[in-house]
Amino acid sequence: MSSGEKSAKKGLLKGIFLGVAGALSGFVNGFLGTGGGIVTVFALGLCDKFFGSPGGPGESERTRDRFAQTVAIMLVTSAVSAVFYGAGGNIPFRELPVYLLPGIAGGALGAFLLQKINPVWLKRIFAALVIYAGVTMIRK
Amino acid sequence: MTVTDVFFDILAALATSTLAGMGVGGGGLLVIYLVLVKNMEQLPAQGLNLLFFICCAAVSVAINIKNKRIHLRPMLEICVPGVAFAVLGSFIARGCDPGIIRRCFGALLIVSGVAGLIGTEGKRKSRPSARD
Repeated sequence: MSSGEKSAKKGLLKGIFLGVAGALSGFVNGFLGTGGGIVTVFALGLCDKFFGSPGGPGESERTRDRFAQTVAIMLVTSAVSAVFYGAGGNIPFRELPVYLLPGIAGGALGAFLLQKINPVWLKRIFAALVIYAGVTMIRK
Repeated sequence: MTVTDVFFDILAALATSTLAGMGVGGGGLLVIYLVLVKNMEQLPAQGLNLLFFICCAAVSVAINIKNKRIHLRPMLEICVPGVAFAVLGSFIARGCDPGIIRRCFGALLIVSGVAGLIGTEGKRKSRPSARD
């Protein structure tokens, strides 16, 4: 097999892999209103590992790109999901303003704090709380 | 809605988006608050969370486009099937028992929490010590 054929086959496999990951993340996002980002960022990481080209940007840059890409993808799929949730009367628009401004401010504050502190212990405490919330959700 | 309610809503939005901005937690944090604290139904909580995410992410995406971090090809390869299956997922959610969706959401939280714990443990082990 020539290098051109190998490259074409690799590109096809990468496209199929990303397509399946997209379908899964889109379904989770539509069904649960969240969670698609976890699937996407994980899939992009695997894609980078198996299909990534040598000589590209460093790991730190690639990680930033993966997160940026994931947020953009989730923005598109969330917009589509939101249209369907809205059409079904499942978006309480009146509640939104109270969450919106602090939400935007918090996003900026989080990005700022990320440069200042190491969030590893915060992540551990948070992961334990999320597991507790998950169990509570199932038992509710 | 009392002033205290509004205060706690603002605090919850600030806390959840700060944690999300630090990469500590996903976008489902607001759903946890809305369902477990505010006793909102599961689907409206998910709908509100979607809209909340769209508004917050739009700012971040605009910055990332300016910084040339968004690549069109992988974006299209994921988004085209993603959009189709998001429609399917939303459609199924509308006809599904909210209790089942809540349990699936709970399972997602547990998986994401366990993955978070394993991820931070892996980072701790791979970090070189002062003696290395």
